[in-house]
Amino acid sequence: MASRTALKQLAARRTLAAWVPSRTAGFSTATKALNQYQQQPASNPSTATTQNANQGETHFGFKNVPENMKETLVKQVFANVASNYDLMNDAMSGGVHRLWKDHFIRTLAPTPGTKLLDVAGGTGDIAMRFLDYCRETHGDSSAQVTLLDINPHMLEVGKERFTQTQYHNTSQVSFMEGNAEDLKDIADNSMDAYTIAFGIRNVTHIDRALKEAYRVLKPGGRFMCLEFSRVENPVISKVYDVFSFDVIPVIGQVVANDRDSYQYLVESIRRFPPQKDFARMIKEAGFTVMGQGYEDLTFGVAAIHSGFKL
Amino acid sequence: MASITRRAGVALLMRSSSAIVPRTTITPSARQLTTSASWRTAEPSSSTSTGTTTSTSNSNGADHASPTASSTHGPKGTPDAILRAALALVPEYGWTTTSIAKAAESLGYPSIIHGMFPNGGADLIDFFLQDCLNRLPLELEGRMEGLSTQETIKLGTLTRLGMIAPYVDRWPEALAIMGQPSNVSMSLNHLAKIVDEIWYLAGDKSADMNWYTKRASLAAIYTTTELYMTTDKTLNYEATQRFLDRRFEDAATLGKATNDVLQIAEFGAKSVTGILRS
Repeated sequence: MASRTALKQLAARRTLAAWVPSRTAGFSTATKALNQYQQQPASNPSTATTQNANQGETHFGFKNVPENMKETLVKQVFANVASNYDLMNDAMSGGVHRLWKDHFIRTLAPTPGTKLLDVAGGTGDIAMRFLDYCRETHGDSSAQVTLLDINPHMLEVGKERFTQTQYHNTSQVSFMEGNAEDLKDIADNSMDAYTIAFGIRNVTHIDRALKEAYRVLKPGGRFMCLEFSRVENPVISKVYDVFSFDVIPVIGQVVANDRDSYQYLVESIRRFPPQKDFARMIKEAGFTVMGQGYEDLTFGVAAIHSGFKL
Repeated sequence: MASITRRAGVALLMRSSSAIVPRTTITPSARQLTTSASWRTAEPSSSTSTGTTTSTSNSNGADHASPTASSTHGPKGTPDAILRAALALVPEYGWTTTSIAKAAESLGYPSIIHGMFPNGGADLIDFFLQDCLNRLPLELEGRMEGLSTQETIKLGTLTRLGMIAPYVDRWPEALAIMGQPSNVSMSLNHLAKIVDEIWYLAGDKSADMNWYTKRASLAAIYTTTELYMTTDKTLNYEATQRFLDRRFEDAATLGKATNDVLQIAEFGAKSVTGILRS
C-alpha cells in the first residue's frame, strides 16, 4: 500500500515494520503527493512554468525534496501534531522542555515594556513565560508579545491556551499568521526582542529568516533561538540516537496516532546545522554575538543561540 | 624628604576626595588586556572588522543621540559605552543589571540589550576595575620620582584607592559581589594586576622570590585598607591614610620577625644535622 511504502522510505533506521498499522494520515497523503511529483518526467511543461530555472532541493528529514514543497509538507506535519503538541512535548522530553523554556526566558531576562516577537510561537509556551516573567519579576504589565506562526492550527491552540490566562483580551498578546522568511506585516526596527523556539529548523531558507529577524529588530535588539542541536559527547549521543529513532516515533504512534510526523521531527533535528555553524550563520546575517554565541542545554540536545543587532 | 612626602600626601588627599582628574593630557595607549569576559570577546557581524575591545576613554558612546547602524556603533564601542554610562548610575542603582539597563536606555538602546552582560553587576565591576587599572599609570606619571620605595608604594596605593571614592557608598556591595564564588577568579585576577602595576610603577626589578612576596604583602595591605575605606567618614580620608601607614609598619615588623624566625630555624636545623652526623 502507498502508505506502507512511504513509511519504509522515510524510516532511516530499523523500524518495527511488522507492527506498523496501515492508516491514511494527512502526512502520508502529502508524502504520496511527493512521490507522485518525483515520478513525473522533468520536462513536464505544467510543472516547469511554476518553478524557477534552477529549482533547488532541500532536506525534509532524511529525504530530499524540492524547496517549494517543503513548506507544504511541514505545514501538514504541524497541522497533524497541533492538537497533541504540548502533550507530546512532555512525553518526548520527560518534561525537560519546560526547563529549557524557563531557562530560555531567564536568559533573555526581559525588562518592563519589552516588545517581543515570538516567531513559530505556535502553542504559546514562550509567549506565556515571557509575560509571566515580566509580571512576576518586575510587576510589569506593559510588556507585549506578538505570537506569529505560519500554521493556523497551531495558532488556534495557542489562542485557546491564552483564553485561560489573565492576558486574554489584553493588549499584551496578539496573534498573527505569517512566514518567518517574510515578515511583511512587521515594520523595520520595531521589535525589542525576537525569539524562535523549536521552529527555525522547519524553515526552508534559514538565512532569509535570520535576515528578516535582523530587519524587524531595533538597533540593540536581541535575537534568541532555542533549538535542538548536536550532542558532542559520544556516549550520550548513542543513547540519544536510540531514544530519538526507536522510542519517539513509537510514542508518537501510541499517543498521537501519527508515527510519520514524529519520524520527520527527529530526522529534521539531525539535518539542522550544529552549534558553531548556526552561530556563524547568525553572524553572517549581521548580528553581533557575544563569546561563542550559543549555550548548550542537556549536553547539546538543545542549544540557545543569541545575537544582538548592533 | 619628609617635605616631599607631605607634599605628595597632601596633593594625593585632595585628589582622593573628589573625582579624579587625570594629570596628563596624553591619549592613553590602548591596553590590550584580554580576559575571558564574554563581552570583551564580542565577535561582530562578519560585515565589520574584528578587534579586541579596549576600555579606553575615547569610546564613541557619547557621540550620538540615537544609535544608527554605522560603524561607530559596532562592538568596539557599544559595550564599553554602555558600561561607562552605567557607572554614572551606580550611586543611585548600585552595581546591578538595573544600572546597565537604564544606561542603555539613556544611550537610545532598548533595555533588553543588558543581555550582553549576563553577569550583570559583576560585568560592570569588571569594567570599572579594568578602567582604574588603565588610569593608574597615567595618574602616577611623573609623580614617582625622588621618592623612596615605601613612599612610592604608598602613593600608588592611595592613588588607586582614591579612584573608588566616587562610589565608596556602594563599594561594600561591589566587594560582596566580588566575593561570590562565581566572581572570585575575576576579582583575584584584578587584585593581582593592581599590586603588580603598583610595584612595577614603583620601579621594582626583582627577579626572585621577592617578586612574589612583595606582591603578596601589598595585596594583603591593599585589601584591608580598601575595606577600611568603606567605613571611613573623615575628611579627605585621613583615617584611611593613617590606617595604611600602620599596615606598612606591620608589614615591616612582620618582615623582620619572619627573618628572625627563619634565622633561628636555620640555626636549629644546622645543629640537628651536626648532631646526627657526629
